Order: sequence, then structure tokens, then C-alpha cells
Amino acid sequence: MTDYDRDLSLIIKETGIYQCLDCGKCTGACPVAETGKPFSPRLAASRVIERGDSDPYVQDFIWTCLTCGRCDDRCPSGVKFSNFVRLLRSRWIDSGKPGIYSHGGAMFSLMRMMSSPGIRQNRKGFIPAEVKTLSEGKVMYFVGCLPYFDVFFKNLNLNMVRIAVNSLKILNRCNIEPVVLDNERCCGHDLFWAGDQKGFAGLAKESYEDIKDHGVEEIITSCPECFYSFNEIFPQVVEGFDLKITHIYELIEEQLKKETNNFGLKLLPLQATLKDSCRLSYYKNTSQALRNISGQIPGLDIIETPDSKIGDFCCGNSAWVGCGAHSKSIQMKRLKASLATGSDLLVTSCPKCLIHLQCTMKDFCDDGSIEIKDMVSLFADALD
Amino acid sequence: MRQRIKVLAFLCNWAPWSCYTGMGEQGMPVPGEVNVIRVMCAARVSTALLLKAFEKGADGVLIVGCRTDNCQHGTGPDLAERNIDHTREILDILGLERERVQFTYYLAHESEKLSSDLHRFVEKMETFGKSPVSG
Repeated sequence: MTDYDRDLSLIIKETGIYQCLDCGKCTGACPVAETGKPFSPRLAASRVIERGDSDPYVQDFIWTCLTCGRCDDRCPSGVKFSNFVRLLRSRWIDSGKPGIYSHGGAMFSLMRMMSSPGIRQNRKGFIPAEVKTLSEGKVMYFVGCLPYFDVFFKNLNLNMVRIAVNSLKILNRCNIEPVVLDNERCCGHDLFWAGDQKGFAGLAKESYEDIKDHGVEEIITSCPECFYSFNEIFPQVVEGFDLKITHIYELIEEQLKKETNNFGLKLLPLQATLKDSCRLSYYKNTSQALRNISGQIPGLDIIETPDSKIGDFCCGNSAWVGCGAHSKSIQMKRLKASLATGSDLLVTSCPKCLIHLQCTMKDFCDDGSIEIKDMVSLFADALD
Repeated sequence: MRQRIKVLAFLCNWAPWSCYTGMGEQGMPVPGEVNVIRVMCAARVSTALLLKAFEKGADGVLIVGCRTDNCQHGTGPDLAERNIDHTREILDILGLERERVQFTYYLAHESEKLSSDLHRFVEKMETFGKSPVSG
């Protein structure tokens, strides 16, 4: 047995693949399989056991899987299928072979550049004068990739930085003046999920040192992926990781529970439908937060799609890996379900869902359209 | 010892490549800092490829295309300039000098102009120094 083979058997063991009962719930839950693409997690698993990971079916599979976690959620045997895919990607890349990335791999170039020790970014240009931030302190707001998205997806006219600006306004309203770093490095979520574990480890160490150098003890973020990355992945690679990680929804919920809070919400007479993020709902099990917050906005009527009630459907792509016809088909389905609710607004909790759904909205032409907004910006609209 | 600057020049197959071969015929040396990649059109060099060049350690990237009215494909130079504009905005946020990426165009006989521009670009990159990514 070579090292390469031993590694594969370890991956199979660690992710519980042998516990698969062949029941097919994974395929029934899978957004990719629902588009009609021949795509079966349990077939991929048995192929890996029989033929190894170079098998063409397996290769197509691991670079198409969305790692959304819906199969993990439904599996009665607790097979960690998304992690199985991630580890296979990692093994493939470590053996010097290329992965299949969307946008020509540009996002990964950005992430790797941000892991260079010598880089000095200028990220804070988007912050308006009335928003109060600090350069050193105990609480930090982690912006994430938003300023880069605005340039890269210019054709979609997204104004992604409004999510950060509105988050900062909400924090100021809670009497928090957070640190925002000019040289904030990426959270590395996508590097990790695309299989570049070494790249992620390098980035995480640089990022952690930078953050600690500014006296930070707690990070607040509005991005589900950053939240997941700091909570779950950083502690695995950064020794002595001791930062407290808070999602901005937790902070808002906490404020709303108080009898007198600083928000003073005004009436927003709108109908809205919700879009969960995979990282918050399937990985962190916190999809209720989105509902709790939106439920507190006066006048806002929430109409859920049939899928979002039982565990939401993917936005079509994750970690900038393998965007294709199946992605478009998934996005179409999700948008049509949202339009069928008759809502004015589709409210997302993840910036990536917003980008992906907005991209497909262009294809609708006369079929109708729905405004897509992130939860934080909607909440900021309700502030008086 | 001071590290040598690395410049990547993407040359369109048509007028720029003709200038480049002309440089060889006329005995004009290519600066040692410049690595040349031949592409079928300047527009082929997407924002992703430009970022990849910097990720892999380029200190400056030059896209050499044709004049707008002389493009074999019609929209090459316009698309190349748009890709460069996007890349420059990203370089701004990354904290790299935006002039590290540049577009130039030539007619097929302008070998001398290409030669002097290549030297000038290398000199300019030397004033910027190594990129924080490659250094």
C-alpha cells in the first residue's frame, strides 16, 4: 500500500463512508441531483472505495458538489459527505493536479496574495465619515471580501459594501466603535473548502497575528462564511486561538430581547421571503436567528418558500468551485420559488447568495423580478 | 543582493507579435527581465489571468495589443483595457501600485517603439521595486 492509498482509506474512515446504508436520502436532498444531472453521493462513495479518486465520475463529482451540507443534514447514518468531498479535493491538489474553479480562479489568486506577509492593503475607503471606527481596540468588525466583490462583479451593480456600512451603523447604534483593519486578510473559507489546506493554514496564521497585534479580543462579522471559518477552521490550524467570534445576528437578537434597546424600529410595510445560508443553517444550526430578527421588524410580512421551511435550497455555488449549467438551474428554481410567494423582497443572509442570485436574475427578462437584499441592510432600513 | 525585477508581457499574435519578431530581425535585444507570452488576442488576458500573474510573483504585467481600428477580432483592445481597469481597482485595494499593469498597442512595423517601451516599463518597475507579493 502506497502513502497515497493509505491517505485515501483514512479519508474514507474518518468521514464515515462505510456507514452508508445506501438509502438514497442524500440524492433526494441534493440540489444538483434535482437539476437532472446524474449525481449520486452514494455512487461516488462506492466508486472511491472500488476504483479510487481518479475515476472520471468521482472527479466530476468532487468538483461539482456544492458542499452545501443538505445531504449531511438528512443522512440517517451521520456520514460527513461534504467533508469527504473537501478532503478528496485537498488530496487531488496536494498531488499537484489542478482543480476546477469558477471565475478563472481569480478569487483564489486574491486570497493567496492576501497571505503574503509584506502586503499592505487599503480597504477602508468605503467607510463614510459619519460611521465611527477605531484602529485599535478589543472588538473588531470583520468586513470580509465585500470591497473586492464590488470591483469584480461590477457588471451586476451590487454595492456589496453597503452590508459592511450598515453593519457598522448597527454596531454604532449598540454603542460599539469597532476596529476595522486597513490590512484585513481574507478569512480563507473558500481556500479551505476548495482543498488548499496549506494555503489556508498560511493565511490563517498571518491573519490571526495581525488581528492580535491590534489588541482585538472579539470579532463581529456579518458574513456566514467568515463566521464559520473563524469558529470552526481557525482553531484547527492556529495554535492557542482565543478570539471570541460573534455573528451580528446574535448581537441584534440580544439587543432586541432587552426591554429598552437602542434600535427604535420603524414601520416597513413589505412582504419578504427568506434565503438561508448553508453555513449558518446546516453547519452552525442557527437559521432561526434570521427569522427572529426579521420577525421583529414592524410591518414586515414574511412568506417562506416550501424549501426554506424545511431546510433551504443552495444558491447554486460555493467556494468558487465548478459553476456550471446545474448552478444556473438551481438558481432559477430558487428565484422562481421566491417569485411565487408574491414578495417584494428576497432577503439573504450570505453575500455570496446575493451575488449568485442577482447574476441569474439577469436571465429572467420578462418573467418577473424581485429585489434581493441582505438581512443587515434590511434591518438598517428599519432603524429610525 | 538586490532581486531582479520580473516582468510578464502578453503579446497579441497579430501586430505586436510582428513587432516582436521584427525586434529580433533588427538585432534589438529583449530586456532580460521580460518574459513574453504569445496570446491570440489582448482580450484573452482576463482579470483572473492578470491577478494570477501577480500571485505567481510578477512585479509588472504588460498587455500588448493592436490599435482599436486594427483589431482582427473587433473588440480586443477595448476588452483588454476594461480588464486592466478592473485589475487596477483591485490592485488599489491590495495596496499595489496601479501602474504595475499597463496596456500598450502598436502597428505591425513599430518594432523600435515596442523595444523602447519594454525597456521603459522595466525601468518603471525598478522604481517601484519588488511587489510585496513576490518579494
